[in-house]
Amino acid sequence: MSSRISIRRYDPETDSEPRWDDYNVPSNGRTTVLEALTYVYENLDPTLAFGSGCRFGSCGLCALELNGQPRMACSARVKDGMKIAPLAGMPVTRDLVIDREAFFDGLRALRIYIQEQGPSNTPQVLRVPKLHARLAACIECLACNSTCPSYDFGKDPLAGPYLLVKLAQLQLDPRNDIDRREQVRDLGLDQCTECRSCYCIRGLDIRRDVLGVLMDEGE
Amino acid sequence: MWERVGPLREAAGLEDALRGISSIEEQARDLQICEIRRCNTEVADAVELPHMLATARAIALSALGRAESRGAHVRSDFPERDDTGPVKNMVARMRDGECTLRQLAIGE
Repeated sequence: MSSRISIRRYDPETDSEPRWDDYNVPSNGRTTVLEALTYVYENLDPTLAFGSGCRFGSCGLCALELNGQPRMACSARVKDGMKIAPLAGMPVTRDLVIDREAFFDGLRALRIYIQEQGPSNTPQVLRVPKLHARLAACIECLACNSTCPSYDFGKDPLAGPYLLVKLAQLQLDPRNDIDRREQVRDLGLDQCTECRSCYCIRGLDIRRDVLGVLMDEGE
Repeated sequence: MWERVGPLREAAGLEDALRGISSIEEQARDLQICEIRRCNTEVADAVELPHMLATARAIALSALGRAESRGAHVRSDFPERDDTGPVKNMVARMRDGECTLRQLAIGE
């Protein structure tokens, strides 16, 4: 059995605009999109660029759009006539690879981590709210940013739902000593209209779980 | 490597694997990759290939050199652990493109 797939191809160095290339790939109903992309790279077209890492849904690097829906290539099954494109609204490095570089400097500036603590301040047992464990399911694939209607990479690559998830995680961490709600306000993320358009591949309810932590008045 | 040098191995399969590795090494002398400058997956693969081949050869040679079963190394042609002599490590060394194997008794 085989499936015909369309892949959006684009090289910002040489192409004025993206194009769609079609390929026939073998499939047996269980073939994943990542396996199909690997088949194209190894057998049909070595110029294809796509990202991947763990191959079992835990790193978020292979997130892309399948028929317009954000999915992880390693866990989604390939289907006949499938259209495969990079995550929308992200700068494309080439083909299906998006440029994640811009995030890292910004994240560092916001101190998106737990500050180093002296041994006396470190609790023996960390009591973390259940909600924190739920939010820890985020694998930073950036699908939420790419589906947020207010998100504009060109304006501010950080100001999107992904950062809200990060800040909510930290706000719930007992070792956190920075007011993450203030950071939300400073970034203008409190302007979120709660439209629920942001889509999470891992099934996080961003409006309920994330905004609840960051937007509530008082403690 | 998957078929011949997995946890369960035997001399014939390992020798077959070493011939396969030599054949890929031969082919890898004449490598062509596409000229794209951005995010060229073939460049990464071309850089990794010689390292993967060297590692594959060291693993297959060591497995062939250890004529016993020990831990996750199971030789179907030598199913028992050999505790007669001192316990030895396999030391693979690459010099001038040649991979040589030496057995080093632990504590030596």
